[in-house]
Amino acid sequence: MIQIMAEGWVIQPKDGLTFAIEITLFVGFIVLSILLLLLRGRFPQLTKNGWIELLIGVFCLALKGLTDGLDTIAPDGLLHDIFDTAEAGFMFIGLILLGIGLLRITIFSVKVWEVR
Amino acid sequence: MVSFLMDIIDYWIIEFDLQGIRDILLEFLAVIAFIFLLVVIIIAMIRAPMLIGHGSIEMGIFVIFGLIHSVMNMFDEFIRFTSEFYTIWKLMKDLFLLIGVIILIVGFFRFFRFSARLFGTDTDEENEKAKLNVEIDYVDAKTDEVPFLTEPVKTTEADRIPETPNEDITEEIAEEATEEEPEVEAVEDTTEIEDFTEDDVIEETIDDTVEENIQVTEEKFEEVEESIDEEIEEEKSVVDTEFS
Repeated sequence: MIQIMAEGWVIQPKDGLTFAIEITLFVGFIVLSILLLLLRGRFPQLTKNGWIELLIGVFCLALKGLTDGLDTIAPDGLLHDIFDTAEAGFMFIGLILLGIGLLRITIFSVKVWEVR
Repeated sequence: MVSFLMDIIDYWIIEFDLQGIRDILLEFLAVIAFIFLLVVIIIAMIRAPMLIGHGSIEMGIFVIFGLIHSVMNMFDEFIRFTSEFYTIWKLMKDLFLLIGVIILIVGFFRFFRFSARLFGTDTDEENEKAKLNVEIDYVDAKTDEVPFLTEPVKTTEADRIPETPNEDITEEIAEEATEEEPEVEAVEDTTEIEDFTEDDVIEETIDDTVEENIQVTEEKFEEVEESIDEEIEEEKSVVDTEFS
């Protein structure tokens, strides 16, 4: 089974740059997740609202980058389709969560601003 | 132009299998999600004009780049490009998103830096201090009408007791000093604060801080009261001995 899955997993020379960019996207979103985790420690008050949505959303977007990269190098067939679907699904979930998180954190910031 | 399109387009996809329909649907949802995010950012910029220039523009640029990426992603579900052009096409798609993500990271930095300023600190050295002061800052901002909390213990022993009380002190003064009941005042002020912060977003924080302030202030008042009582007793004894 592993051999069957492993067959055809080749980074073609023409796909090399695309794959690199997709993995960079994954790394970029992971960096954003780490940044959010650090901010949680530094500003517990600010990250009270909307932070968890932002974190999950960014992590979903990181998974989108990873599945996009795997989709590029995966052989045509079931796995390719799964990665293709997962990529779009993670993107949708991640963006919706990002939107909700941003909205909540903005509303919270506005209230703090009004208070101050 | 037409010849260029003919060169890059292998054929148009007009028949879709289940996988194709699912992909189109999901890509379409991603476009909708980016539009939702754009609406969120526009709402945020309208509701919070102070955020403009502090990360919201960068987030808007990320959304625009992401929207271009998603539209391109959806578009290629209908067109089968030639293999050579599809490599460039996919590279362009991913580059758009990558640029968007880099700008988003910059935006997040700026947003949180601004928010740190909003919370009363923007330097690394003061972060620890800020964690302690943030709640106090809120209370200070919210309790303009309650000087009792903003200036917890203004009344000191020196203010209450004359420097040379031996000659002037009487029982009336002693009664006035003892009539001041800080506990009662504190209870009234607590009620005001609780009413004032009832619907506030930082209600819990303020309540906690107010309670801490009240406790600290009450303790200090008790100390002051005790010292006053001791002073009065001493003065009484001095006066008694003088009269006797």
